[in-house]
Amino acid sequence: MTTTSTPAVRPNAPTGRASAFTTLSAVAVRTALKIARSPQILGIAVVQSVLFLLMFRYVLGGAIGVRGLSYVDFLVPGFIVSGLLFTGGGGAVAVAEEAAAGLYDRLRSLPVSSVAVLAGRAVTDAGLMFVVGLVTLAVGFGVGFRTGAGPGHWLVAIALLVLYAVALAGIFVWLGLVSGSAQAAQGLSILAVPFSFLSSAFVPVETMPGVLQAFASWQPLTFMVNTWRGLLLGDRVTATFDHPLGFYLVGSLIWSAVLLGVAAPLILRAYRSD
Amino acid sequence: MEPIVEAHGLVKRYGDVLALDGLDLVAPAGQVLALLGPNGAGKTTLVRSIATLTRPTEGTLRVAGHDVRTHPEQVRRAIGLAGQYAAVEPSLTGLENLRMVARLFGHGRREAKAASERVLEQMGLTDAGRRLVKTYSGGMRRRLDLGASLVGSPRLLLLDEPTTGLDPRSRNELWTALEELVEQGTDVLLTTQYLEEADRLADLIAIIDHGRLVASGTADELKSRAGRDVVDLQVREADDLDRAAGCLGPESIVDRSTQRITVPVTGGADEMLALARALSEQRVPLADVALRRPTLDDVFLALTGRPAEARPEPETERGLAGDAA
Repeated sequence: MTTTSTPAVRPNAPTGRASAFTTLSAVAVRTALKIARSPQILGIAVVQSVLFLLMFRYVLGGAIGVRGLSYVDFLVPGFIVSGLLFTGGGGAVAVAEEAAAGLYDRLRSLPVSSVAVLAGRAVTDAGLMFVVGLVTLAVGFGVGFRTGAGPGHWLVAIALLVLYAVALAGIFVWLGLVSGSAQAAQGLSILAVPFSFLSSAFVPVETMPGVLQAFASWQPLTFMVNTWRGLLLGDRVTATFDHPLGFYLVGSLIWSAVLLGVAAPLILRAYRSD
Repeated sequence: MEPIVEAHGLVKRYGDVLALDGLDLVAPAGQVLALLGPNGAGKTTLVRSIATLTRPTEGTLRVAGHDVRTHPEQVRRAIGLAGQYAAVEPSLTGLENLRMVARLFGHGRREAKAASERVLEQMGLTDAGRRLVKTYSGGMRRRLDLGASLVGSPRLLLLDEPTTGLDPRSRNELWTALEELVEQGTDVLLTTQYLEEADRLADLIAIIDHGRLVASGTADELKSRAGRDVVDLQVREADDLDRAAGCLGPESIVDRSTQRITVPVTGGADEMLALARALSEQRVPLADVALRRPTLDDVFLALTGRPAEARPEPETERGLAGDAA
């Protein structure tokens, strides 16, 4: 078995090294193929999202009054944005499963950029969150959501939804890496509940008691929800805001940058830990 | 030739636990080295350190001439890692799985396809290459996983318990594939709990226990180091085991499941007969008596004071954690 004199034959020796872009797209394509071939991943996410939309619209909605707006108009933008959190939880579970299967050990043993690997994963998760958001939005129109927004506002709103999805996807990749198991990741994903309920997504924050209201007014989701709501509903809703729409828009951009800035080093640390 | 792996005084501490405790090891290039040791001996920690997944706390570790601490990138270009879990995606085809890894190894689009096809053939998976991996058997997945570490043509292939949980037939197929690779000149470092695996595949065996190197050498060298021949006695009645062991002296080792007692001897056939006679005088009926050369099992026991833990057991569905995702 010993080969002392024969030089190693290496017909598969690579000629270059993978660029960050190649790495990112290879990981993103792998993840996207996996999602596309497992209809249950997208299916469950859509069903869950639509089910909750219908329950808020027809079960709780009747009991919630919002100044100057029908509840369905108030609800749908908030629901689409906070829905990113619920879909994102599935990404955390998938990351935990891949870690347990040894995928990240293999990827870390390859001569590629860690940042690109993780970005590839996060981008695909964000894509799934975005698609589920769009489907839910279509259902929202079906159950009575109406907006007078022009194409400009729509364009900005859609672009922002993509940005929010990317910013939040990073957090879920991190949760998936630190959770240690799919079950734990599932458990951690429950964090979506307090964050979405303690925001302006489902009810106006003014109705909440002191401490909760302070938290709800300043947490990232409220900035994102108010921006979306303002862009799609215009004066009908911005008239009720404490601050002009620009305040929420800039605030949501700052929060997105902070979430990514905080998540990136945490994710890298979790990914590289022994 | 420069050693492919060179470790000096390697220490890895996880909190209070010393996984590696001043390990020294030199693996010459052009050889298959098997790391043998009980669970928790530090084998996996060593492989993870070589693969740049774990940073050693102290000591030096060079792989293919590069320091893992200062030049992890160069080390990664020289190694391929396959583990006990099949890190292949079940909802992709075999070819798709390999192409992604080939791209990450630095192949261009066309080269990646060619390298993947070559590896599929090498692993005997050409026919299955366009099928989804979820339709593969456990052994096929393991071979695909091995193939994924080969598409970049590494100088050193790292295998962490490559056949744990495979049924005997799949194990044999994987061994054959590995032997072919070695013939083509890939250096291999593998960890195993199966002495048979080390005996069959490795040129050199390093026995590790408590994070240190206990012994190393060829299988024959290790066997002759254990020195003495062994007498195997099998009693008819399980109840006689303790009485027989008492009569055979303090060096005898009892295996209750097979009702066997092994005793190291220096006196060859004469001593074997003497032992059998002694038992017969004690009215212990024997089913079998034999004198044999020591196996790696005996070596392992002599050096670590414990039997090698795992026995090859067919468990076809283990190690497929990739299923879940």
